[in-house]
Amino acid sequence: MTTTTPGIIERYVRLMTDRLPADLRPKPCDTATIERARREFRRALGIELPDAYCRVLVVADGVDHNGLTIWPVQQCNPPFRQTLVEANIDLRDSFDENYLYLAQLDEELYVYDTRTHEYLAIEFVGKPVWAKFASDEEMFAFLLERAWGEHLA
Amino acid sequence: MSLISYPRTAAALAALLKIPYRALLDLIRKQKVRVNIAEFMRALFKDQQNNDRFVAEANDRLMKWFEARRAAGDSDAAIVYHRSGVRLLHGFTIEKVSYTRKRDRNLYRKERSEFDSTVKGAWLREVARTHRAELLSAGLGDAQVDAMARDGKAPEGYQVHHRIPLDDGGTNAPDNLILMRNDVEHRAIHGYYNPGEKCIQQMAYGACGEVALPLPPRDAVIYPNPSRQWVAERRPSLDLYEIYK
Ligand SMILES: [Zn+2]
Repeated sequence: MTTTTPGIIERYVRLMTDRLPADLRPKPCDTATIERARREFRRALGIELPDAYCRVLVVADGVDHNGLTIWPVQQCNPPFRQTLVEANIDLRDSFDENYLYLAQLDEELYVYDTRTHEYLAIEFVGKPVWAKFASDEEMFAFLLERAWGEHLA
Repeated sequence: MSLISYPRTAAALAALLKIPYRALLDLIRKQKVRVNIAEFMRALFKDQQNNDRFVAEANDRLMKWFEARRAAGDSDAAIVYHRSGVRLLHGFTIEKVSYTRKRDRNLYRKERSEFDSTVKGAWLREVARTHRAELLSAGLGDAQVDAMARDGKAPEGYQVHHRIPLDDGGTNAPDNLILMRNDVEHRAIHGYYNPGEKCIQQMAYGACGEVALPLPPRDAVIYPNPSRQWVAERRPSLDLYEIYK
């Protein structure tokens, strides 16, 4: 069961994307690009790319807003410095190999725990879990609202 | 002709680590053995997983590394791991921090939650007003600083970092915050191979201990800042290997 408002993920991502200078604004991904991203993610990390991530991609290939990074799946142009797969390989090496990394907000990482199958908010230092979510959709709605700074009804 | 070996598999690296560590570093120094930094560090940490003193000793050695640097008259810098190569973060210090892992998890969660709802925005607005010249000198544009002052949001490509982590005695106080570029600089000061954070991770809630933490330049509000020579510089991996054993 989910309690998030329909379309809320897309609305936040659109607001955040529109706020970037025109030359830094990521483009939406078409269906073929998203299918390719799903395949690449599965091949590189052995797990399905969550649907909520794909909903972000439909609006923009990556989000950079107020310390929030949702990594792009195509090339990595400014303001991004890594793609989703690159960020996961990096964070799995230098942080914890048991997570899938779906977003970073300042020092908060939003992850999928491959051992417990939970969606979690953790912090870099000491890895304390400070929030758990019922679904990928709930986690994305939460982190987008947190970065945006106000609740969209 | 001398033979060069390139051990890549976990088994080959584990076998390599049977060589006394200093002798092994010598082989690497003389390029008789070549290793990939990420594979080597992974193997080393696995090899040492039952050594209770490993992390504490790495903390001590990191502290000594920094003290030796200061004694030699070098400018402040911290040495950090990244899988793309070791970096020196110029301007950073390494400080022995007496760390108490917050026992009160509700307080921690409250602070974590308040950070985004109130503290971060207020700090960013204030910094944009009071440190405009510094933000511009670090490479932000006028429009970015104006937007920070107006909206209280971090500029594109930057994240807010807690100097002393919130999970410790760290607080949301303004002087505990700094803007860090969302790149190797921020990634490298956190993580599995940072001796201080490794130590923290092993601590129980409520426990305390001394850890060596890389801390950004004291009076800075943004990092890196090339106008002050506060930048990340690549270093040979050996410089970091020396610290671990
Ligand atoms: Zn940080």
